[in-house]
Amino acid sequence: MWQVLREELAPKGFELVTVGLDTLGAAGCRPFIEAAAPKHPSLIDSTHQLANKFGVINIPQAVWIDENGLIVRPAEVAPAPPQPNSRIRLPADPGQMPSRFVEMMGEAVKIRQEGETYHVALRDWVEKGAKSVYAMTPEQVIARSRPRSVDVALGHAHFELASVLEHKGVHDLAVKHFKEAHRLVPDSWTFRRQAWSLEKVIDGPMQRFWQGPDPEKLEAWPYAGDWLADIRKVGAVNYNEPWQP
Amino acid sequence: MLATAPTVSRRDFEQGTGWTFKPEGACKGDVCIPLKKQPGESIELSAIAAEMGLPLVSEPNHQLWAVGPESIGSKALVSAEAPSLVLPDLDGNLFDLKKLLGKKVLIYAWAPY
Repeated sequence: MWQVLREELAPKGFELVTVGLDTLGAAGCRPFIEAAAPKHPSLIDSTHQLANKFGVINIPQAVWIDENGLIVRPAEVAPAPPQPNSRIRLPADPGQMPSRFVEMMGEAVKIRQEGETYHVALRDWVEKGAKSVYAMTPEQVIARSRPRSVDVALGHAHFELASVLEHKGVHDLAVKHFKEAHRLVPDSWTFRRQAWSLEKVIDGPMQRFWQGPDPEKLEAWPYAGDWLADIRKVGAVNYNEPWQP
Repeated sequence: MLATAPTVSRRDFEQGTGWTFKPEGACKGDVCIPLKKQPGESIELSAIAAEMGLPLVSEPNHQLWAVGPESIGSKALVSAEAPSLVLPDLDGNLFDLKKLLGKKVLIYAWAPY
């Protein structure tokens, strides 16, 4: 559990900063943050600055920064914290659940989680600092950071523009720039999931999790992919890259 | 970085992109991009983006300009120095990551979708 781990490590000079990536800002993140009632800084990033600045392309991902403000591990997969209680509750009777959600959950359970190794590494670094085998040198950090071509950088600019257009209520134009971002940064799950989550295909609390076309109106879906199609394309087991010490 | 006009102040450009103007050029960590001349107080985004090799996308009808990040070395990071990060909390209060200098920090990205 992240909060428990944070309490354990805080006396050793450690702090956890959680950042919710959401175009909808506080409105989108609020129920989850309020349910978790964090004691650590819990921030909101409505334009995915973590993508530009650190190379975050998926969630959950984390970056380690030492006492001197040096990154010692670049953005990489980090095991999910326990789901807050407010996490959307699925109907008790799966028979009531739309088949898309049943299929999505079937894929989600295959996503790789390597929490134990990761937390061992984190405790080791908090204990030993630069002497920890898990703390990288600046050269290693740069080399291990995400690849970024000229096209990828351009895709980030499109994504940032799309985020603000969505804020301003210019949804169609936002979609155009989200699509450019998806084309130019094909390995970013957050860029895609963010855009998909803004499409109002169904009503109700599960709206943002639908992330795909209305089966009755396939042609109305504006994006090339969707959560279920894309995860099947890569294989759910490959959704998270394996964590490497 | 996002701008609402085709020119921005030097300070806004530096804060928004993380690149600082120095006599050697535009610098981040140990990396400097040489510039033909020192920029003044007002930065024209199209000119500086072209000179620094940064992408620029705009929707002038909506008063929006977005300067993308650098792709120097074909990597997301040009330096291991943590970039400046100032983000709001749930109540809109800004938090500066610099406040945590002296501690080991784990920045954890999540999303509610």
